[in-house]
Amino acid sequence: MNFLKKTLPLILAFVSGWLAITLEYIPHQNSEATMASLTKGLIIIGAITAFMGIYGLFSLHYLKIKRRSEGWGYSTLVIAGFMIMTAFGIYNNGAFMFQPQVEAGGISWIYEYIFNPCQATMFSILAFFIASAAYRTFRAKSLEAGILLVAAIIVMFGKVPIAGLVSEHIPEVAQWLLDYPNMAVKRAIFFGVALGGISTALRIIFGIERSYLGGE
Amino acid sequence: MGMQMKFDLKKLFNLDRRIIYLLIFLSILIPFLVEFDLPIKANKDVKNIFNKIEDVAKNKGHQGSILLSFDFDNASKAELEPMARSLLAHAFKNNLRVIAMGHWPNGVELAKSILNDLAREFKKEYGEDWVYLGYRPGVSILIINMGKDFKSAFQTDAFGKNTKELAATKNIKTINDIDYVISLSAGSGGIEDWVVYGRSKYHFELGGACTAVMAADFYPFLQSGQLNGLIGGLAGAAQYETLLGRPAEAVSGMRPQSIAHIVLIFFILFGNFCYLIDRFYLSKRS
Repeated sequence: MNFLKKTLPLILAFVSGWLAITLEYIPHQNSEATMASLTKGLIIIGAITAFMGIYGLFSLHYLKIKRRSEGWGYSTLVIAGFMIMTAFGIYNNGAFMFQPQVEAGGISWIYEYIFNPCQATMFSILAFFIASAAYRTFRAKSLEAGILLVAAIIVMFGKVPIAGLVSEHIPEVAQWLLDYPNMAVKRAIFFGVALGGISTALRIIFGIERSYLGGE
Repeated sequence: MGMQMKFDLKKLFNLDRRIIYLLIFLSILIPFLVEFDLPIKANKDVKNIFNKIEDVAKNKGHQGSILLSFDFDNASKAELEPMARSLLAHAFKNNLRVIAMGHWPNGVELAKSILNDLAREFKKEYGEDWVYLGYRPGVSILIINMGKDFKSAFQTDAFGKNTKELAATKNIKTINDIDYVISLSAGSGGIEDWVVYGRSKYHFELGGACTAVMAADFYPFLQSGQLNGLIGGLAGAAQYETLLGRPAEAVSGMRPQSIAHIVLIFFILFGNFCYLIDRFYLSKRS
């Protein structure tokens, strides 16, 4: 059991990790073909994980309903929404599930008249929260915060066309802030993230990082 | 006097959020009703995307193709739909073939409706002038797969038709056979994935269109040349509409956005003014 639970996954991670790295640096048609097959396999694995996600979603919300946890009513809506969409997806306006999704079916209707306005509304009310939060929290409490505040105001104003009516230099200053100070910082962050990603990948390949095996 | 001032400032500090909401609401509503012109000048990053599409049209004609990746859903529709419409209008106007797809499953229906609208307007034929490949899982892996073997990544389109039989896709072996790729991105599974797993590996021309809040993230890619251009937020969409000579939703959206930004800046400055006065009285008292 220990072999199946620990040793085999470690061997698989080591072999597939090195295989992917090696294939990446071999510009040969066989290497390219193997890589293409591997990527197809990964897409299939990605699709399979959707079923695990559904299982996780159901078990979480089922337990919430069963235990009458706080907000369990919302869980019933999650499950009802999922079941209704699945039913319409399988029915597929009479063409059933093995045909491509037909136009103007139940899914399209729900998407257009329920999902679409709900999601757009959720996002649009952000403007109100941002205004309120900015008024209460965006304070020049230190020199650094003051610099950030001034830069934010210049960019916020300079990126809308009305700034051009005040002075043509304001959009230029806003663009300069984005092109230079912003870019330098973003680049540093990208490098940091990339190095972190590489080191984590190597830790997994060499079996140092084992949290993905679970249980420990 | 000082205590009275401090008391009043405290009241201002705790300004009822409903007043803020009301002012933001009015700053959005009134400019929609009252029309006025604003100077919209396209920046170099927006111009680069526009010019690239013009170049493809000039050099390839109807054999030229662009790929639009609809990597967004309804939440960012307000910013990205005007960009999608302008890019499609530009491609269709220049008789380019459009291949569309998406990394976001929730954006499939939205992409379909935008594509259908524009195809109808420009009288474009499905399969010959445009194709919609729909959603496939994988994001990074899918992009790598498109670079290796396009047909195995998309054997069929979103309507179940074989991509080998559609005029717009039958000659595409890898993503390098497409002249220009543009990702319309609202988050993870978008521009960054196209840069890292697509542009860097297969060296095709890539442009980006994204929400305003994300635009700052992509400047390093612009300078390195991994992105040849970027349309950022509704302001970027308005710039593209202006370049195209087809002012629409984004251009009219610049009025409320400009006024709302001014109101927001006013609140930030006012909040800081109250904060500094309060600090001044606190230090005086101590």
